[in-house]
Amino acid sequence: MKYVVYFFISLVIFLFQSAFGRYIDIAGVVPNIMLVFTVCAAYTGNSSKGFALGVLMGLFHDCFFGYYIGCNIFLYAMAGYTAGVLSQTLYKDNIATSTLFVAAATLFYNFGFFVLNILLKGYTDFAGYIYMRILPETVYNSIISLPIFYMAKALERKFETGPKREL
Amino acid sequence: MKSKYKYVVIVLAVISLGCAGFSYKRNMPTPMESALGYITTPIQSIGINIIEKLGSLADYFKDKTELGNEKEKLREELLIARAEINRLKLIEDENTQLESLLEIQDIYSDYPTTGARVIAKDPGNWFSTFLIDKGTDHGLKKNMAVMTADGLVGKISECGYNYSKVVSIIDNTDAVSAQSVRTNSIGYVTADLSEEAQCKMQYSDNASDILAGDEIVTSHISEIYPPGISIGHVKRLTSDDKTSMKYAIIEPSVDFSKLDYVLVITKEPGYEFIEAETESGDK
Repeated sequence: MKYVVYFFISLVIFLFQSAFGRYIDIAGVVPNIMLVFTVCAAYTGNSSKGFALGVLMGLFHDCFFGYYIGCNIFLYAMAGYTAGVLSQTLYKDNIATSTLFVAAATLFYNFGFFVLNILLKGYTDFAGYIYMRILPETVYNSIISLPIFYMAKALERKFETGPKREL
Repeated sequence: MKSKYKYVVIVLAVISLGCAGFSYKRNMPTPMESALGYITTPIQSIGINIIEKLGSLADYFKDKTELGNEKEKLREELLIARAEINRLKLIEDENTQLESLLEIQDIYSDYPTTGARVIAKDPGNWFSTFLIDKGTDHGLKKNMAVMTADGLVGKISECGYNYSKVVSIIDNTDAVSAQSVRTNSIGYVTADLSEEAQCKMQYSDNASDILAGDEIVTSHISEIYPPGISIGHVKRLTSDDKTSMKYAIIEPSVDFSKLDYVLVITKEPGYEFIEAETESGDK
């Protein structure tokens, strides 16, 4: 049941992102709700959950919009997994920390994407990319992470097995 | 007595809902309906005829001076319209002359196109890939060119049964062979991701005199893109410090942030050009 619910939520987020993302852009920059949800779920949950969600989201992204399958799977999964591992030692009800995690994951994702897709083709103008794309998206993702964090927390609490933790 | 009415209402409601349910998909009127229509149509037309007659009678008695004023006004308007037609004719002649000079006749009307709606866009901010709602089912194929009324958008990179993936020209995975309308110098247009939604054109001939404001269109040597589709206008010229290559920064004709409806050119990619090549080879 838990897996089915998470699968459908991932699918809905992907469909929303791809179909309506272009209508919620600010100055041409679209927030990456898929990445934000992966990181928030990993932050409230654990690393394996972040990894699984990352693989799923990356697969959706690559299947429909990628040029080859694997790049986005790797980046989403790594972002989710790292967020899950780092959050184990942290107090999990802190929304500021989750926002920080999302910002760091956005920077990581975009930097990884730049290296894997742009730098290897011989384009080296990294400063331009940072100003035009990466920093605006980081800010936008951080703002979006506030509602998504509460959603991920509610889901985590609903499907939690074993003794209740302080969430 | 009261309960009787209640039953009648219920039965009528059930019957009407049943009728609605049975008839909502019908294409032809039922015999009952056509009989009713056969009877009522003449009556309706008689009524309309009478109303029209009365109206024309009333018009006849309208103020004559008002009509005279209107006549004068219309005569004036006619003169202006005639002058306008002459002016437009002159412009049309000039236009056809210029078109034949540029050897781009009836650019867009030659190509068979089909419209498609943009249904999804790449979640990231790096590339500009999107999905349209038509695929192999509608006769689309890989590498068909996609455009809007303003100019070139890109090409189909993947074709599913009822969807297609379109890679736009501001996506840095691809290059478009292009030429300047004014000077005919040939180069290729690639994406320039560092500048917001812009392309750059690198041209092979360093001496070619492309200037800011020149229109850039797809060239005749491309196998994918039909020639003569507008790509954009040159915004400024620049050169790479390291390679000393010249670039023209291009402002695309299409506003990629507001793409909702695109046209796909449903001509087999490369077909005409391969045929032309073999013909010239035979000669």
